[in-house]
Amino acid sequence: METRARPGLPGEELGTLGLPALKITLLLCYANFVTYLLLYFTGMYINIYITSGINPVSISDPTNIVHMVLSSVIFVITLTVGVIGFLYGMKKVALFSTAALLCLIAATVGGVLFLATGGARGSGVLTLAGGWIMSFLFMLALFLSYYATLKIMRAIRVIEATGGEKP
Amino acid sequence: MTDGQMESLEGRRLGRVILVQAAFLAAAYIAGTWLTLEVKGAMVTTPEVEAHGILSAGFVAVTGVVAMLALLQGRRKVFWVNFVTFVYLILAGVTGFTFLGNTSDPTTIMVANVSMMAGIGLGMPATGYSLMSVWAPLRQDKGSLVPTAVYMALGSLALTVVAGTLVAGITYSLAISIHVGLGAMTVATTLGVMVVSLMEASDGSTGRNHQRIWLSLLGLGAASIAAGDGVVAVTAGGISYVVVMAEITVLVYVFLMFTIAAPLRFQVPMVRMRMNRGSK
Repeated sequence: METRARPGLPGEELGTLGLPALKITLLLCYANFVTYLLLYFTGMYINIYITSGINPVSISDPTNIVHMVLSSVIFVITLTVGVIGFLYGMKKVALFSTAALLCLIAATVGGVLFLATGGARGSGVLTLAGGWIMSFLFMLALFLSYYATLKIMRAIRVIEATGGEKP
Repeated sequence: MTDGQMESLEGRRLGRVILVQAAFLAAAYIAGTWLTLEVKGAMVTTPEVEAHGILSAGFVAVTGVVAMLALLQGRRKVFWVNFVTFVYLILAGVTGFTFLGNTSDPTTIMVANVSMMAGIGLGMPATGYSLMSVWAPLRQDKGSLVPTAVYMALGSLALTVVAGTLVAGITYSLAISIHVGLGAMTVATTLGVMVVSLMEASDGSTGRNHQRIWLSLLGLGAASIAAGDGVVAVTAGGISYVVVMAEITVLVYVFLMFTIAAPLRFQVPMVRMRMNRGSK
């Protein structure tokens, strides 16, 4: 892995990606946030209108399928940003995306636990725990992805400010 | 680092990610076939379902990564091929979720099986094309016809596995005829890969890449065993032969992908150190 810091800018992690590619990556990060927003909409819809705290939600429920597809898309985008960070010398982007990925994996386990043990908040302690693990870790993953996005934005700003097409 | 060297480095990196993608495809296919043919009463908590889910999610995720990396490197065709595959795989995943909610309905089972196998069918030529596009310009043998021949073989193989899945869904005799015909085409095109590899290695016009001969021969052997299993399954019956046939098909795919990637260098760091010491 190669990390380049420009002279006079100690600690700046600009990576080896060019400015246009960095901007595309930033767009991908924005798409991730939009997907998170839709994920929360569908999650809230399931919570309020489908389960109402009592009824179970089935894995094949259309809203649940949309919810799972959105979480898969988030996983893919986070992995992609992490791989870009790793391959193009942006260590912090790679690190925070990897942490977000681990959170997403654990959150998915929580989600499966929620569905497998009843699928409603009133189904028992395990179901409730699964639901909480899922919600908490998705929020943590969002925060970590946000930090990775900030590092990409910072790299773009620095490269633009120094007038270079490539670091 | 010059632009040419940078491009070469980026191409090699993307090639390695495509190999990971191919590994996930093969593993997801193996787990999926086992799940379909050997597991009764699948649920979300069934270990085989979870294994298949994780492996296919890995395949989808790495396909997304390959698409994005290709876009960043300006390889538009590779991007589009992988992006379309990615979107299709997401849709195929939806049929899987629907199946898990209703595991007894024959139509739901059929739709899930065919759509997922079509995903594999799309993924096989997609990964082959991606690897061919990314690595072919980096090789010494730029004029080689082997990657194109492999690509044709992968296309035939993909159609064969999709037709094989349709056996349970459409008129049996028609489906078997299509499946056998496409299987024969796969054997023929894999033989074609071996012949082209042999010719190119013997005249030395595009470098003497002997590994391609052995790898395509292994692919041909795997295709022949799978075909033999198919014949036994049709004549003697027994689901186990179908399972073996489907699993061996993965070997054909793996050997064909390795044929594109050849020459492979199996040098683990310890061996490399010893070789370096020996040369001093």
